[in-house]
Amino acid sequence: MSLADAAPHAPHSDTLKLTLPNQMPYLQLAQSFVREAAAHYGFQGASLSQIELAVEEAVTNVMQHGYDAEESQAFDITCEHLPGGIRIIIHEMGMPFDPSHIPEYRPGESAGMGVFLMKTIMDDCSFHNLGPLGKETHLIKYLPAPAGETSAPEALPTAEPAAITQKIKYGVRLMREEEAIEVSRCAYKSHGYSFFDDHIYYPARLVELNRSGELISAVAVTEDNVFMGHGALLYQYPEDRIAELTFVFVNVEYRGQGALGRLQDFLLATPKPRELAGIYAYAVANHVFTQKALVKGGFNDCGILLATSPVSWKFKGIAGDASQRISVVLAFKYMETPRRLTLYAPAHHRDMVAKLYRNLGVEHGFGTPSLGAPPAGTPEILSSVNAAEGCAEIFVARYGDGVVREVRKLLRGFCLQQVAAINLFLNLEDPATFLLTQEFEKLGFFFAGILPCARVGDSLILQYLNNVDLDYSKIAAYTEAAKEILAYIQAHDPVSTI
Amino acid sequence: MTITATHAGDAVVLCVAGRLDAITSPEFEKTCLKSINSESRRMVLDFEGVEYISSAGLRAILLAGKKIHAGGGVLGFSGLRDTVKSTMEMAGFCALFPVYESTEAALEPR
Repeated sequence: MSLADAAPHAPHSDTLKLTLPNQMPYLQLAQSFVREAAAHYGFQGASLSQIELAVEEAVTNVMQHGYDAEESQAFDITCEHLPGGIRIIIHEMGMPFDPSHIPEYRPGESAGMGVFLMKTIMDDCSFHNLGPLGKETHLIKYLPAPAGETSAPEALPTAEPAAITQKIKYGVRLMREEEAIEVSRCAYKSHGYSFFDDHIYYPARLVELNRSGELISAVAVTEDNVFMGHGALLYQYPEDRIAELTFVFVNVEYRGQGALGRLQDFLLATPKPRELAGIYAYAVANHVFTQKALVKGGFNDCGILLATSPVSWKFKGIAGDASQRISVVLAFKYMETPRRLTLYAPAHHRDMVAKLYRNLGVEHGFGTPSLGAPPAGTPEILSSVNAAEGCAEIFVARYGDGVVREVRKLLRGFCLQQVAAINLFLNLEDPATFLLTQEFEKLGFFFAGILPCARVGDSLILQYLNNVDLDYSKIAAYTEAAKEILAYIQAHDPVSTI
Repeated sequence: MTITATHAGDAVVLCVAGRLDAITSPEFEKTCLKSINSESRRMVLDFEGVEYISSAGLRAILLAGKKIHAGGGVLGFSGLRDTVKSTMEMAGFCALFPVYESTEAALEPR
């Protein structure tokens, strides 16, 4: 899934940083700095003006609302060069701020206008409370696709070509940069403009992501070098030890040739920029074709995330239920034998967690912590939201004082943003997970599954559905394990069990 | 930023040039409000020279618009550059206030 990253980022060689006093006369200096950085990253014309405007709105927020009138402080502006875009981070140590209290903008009123402009102009705008480390505003903008560099649907045939029935010879290899345009077009042809992550529609971004090692793209091509299909491994977060198998699609005329499986095998075998503990994949559950392909690739199911994608998500040429938000089956494959862990699964989910690990071919030990004082210190919670998908993730990286309250606050914010599905990742190696899972369940979270080596360690995943009308009978689970997980989830869904 | 105010009957035209940002907008707001008197029925903001506007400038316009509306008058724009027009459209201002091709068109009797 493509979720905006809210974690601190590793410095990049093309990252620029400026520290300024929190005084209004420095506003134009802040804008000029970002404007120059954006121009250096390839932005021009109207996009530069829009970035300048978003920076003013963010910086004046800091200057006018972050501090008391007479308080003299400094704030940092960082510009990061993203593949095909820019991330601007404004970091300050001002007064705590709850973004959920920003009023909704209504034309004719002043309230909420600045944030509305930022969110409209930029591709992503988010606010992060870092506790004692201050606050950050993140602004992301991508370069507009040059003419002819979108998937150019108008240039595509309106009728889908028929599948080639005879078996053909073809090869699978790493994507060449000049093939990125074909990949984007194939993404459009197979999924329309409804893919999880819109990077796939921008050839320039695909090239840069592959250059930076964040994405490994493989293509299937005929003997005549005609593009057939694509698959990729995506490193979602910089610190990840696992990668997501994603962007897998094959042009309609080449389906049935086994290209999906060969792309998958190639990606598992190809050398990686860094060692991977495992690979995971989300297989849509409005049909079973993707789930079947993952089974062939040696993946095993370890969870089901409900209603993570909008109804509009489509897979051309494959019939599937389109009457409710789409759920995904989470599948995992170890790339190395994991060391034996002691896991602190909550008592009421322990058997299921053990069963899911056994399904992945692993036996871990389980511990029961002694009842002691609740976790102290400041909790560290990371979160990210994909507004287009209506899906968010919360990661409890470190338990601490008030962790449940903080998660509840984030949950409330996501609900107000009308995010439909919120997934909560809890570290199974932390004894506090044993003690606090039920507290999170009291907020309305319920079981989703596990994910080994996730961002916060081997994780128990809980999920929360925000007013989603879900018919479990329409969720297509292929394997026996997936069917069992689905039944278990339904039994624990507080709405389904009413 | 520079502002030149011209009064013609019940109309006032403000020719604005430069940037309307958080630094300059307080002055712009003050001038706008001061230019509206009990006789004012039309205020035309000639923005041909405005190269940039942020929410601070838009808020000032809203205040001026509310003041002139309260007296039964109307506020309109002329000479909008693409960048400025795009921001104003985004914020819904082009639906709230009339936009004219030119100041002359804005001042035509109606």
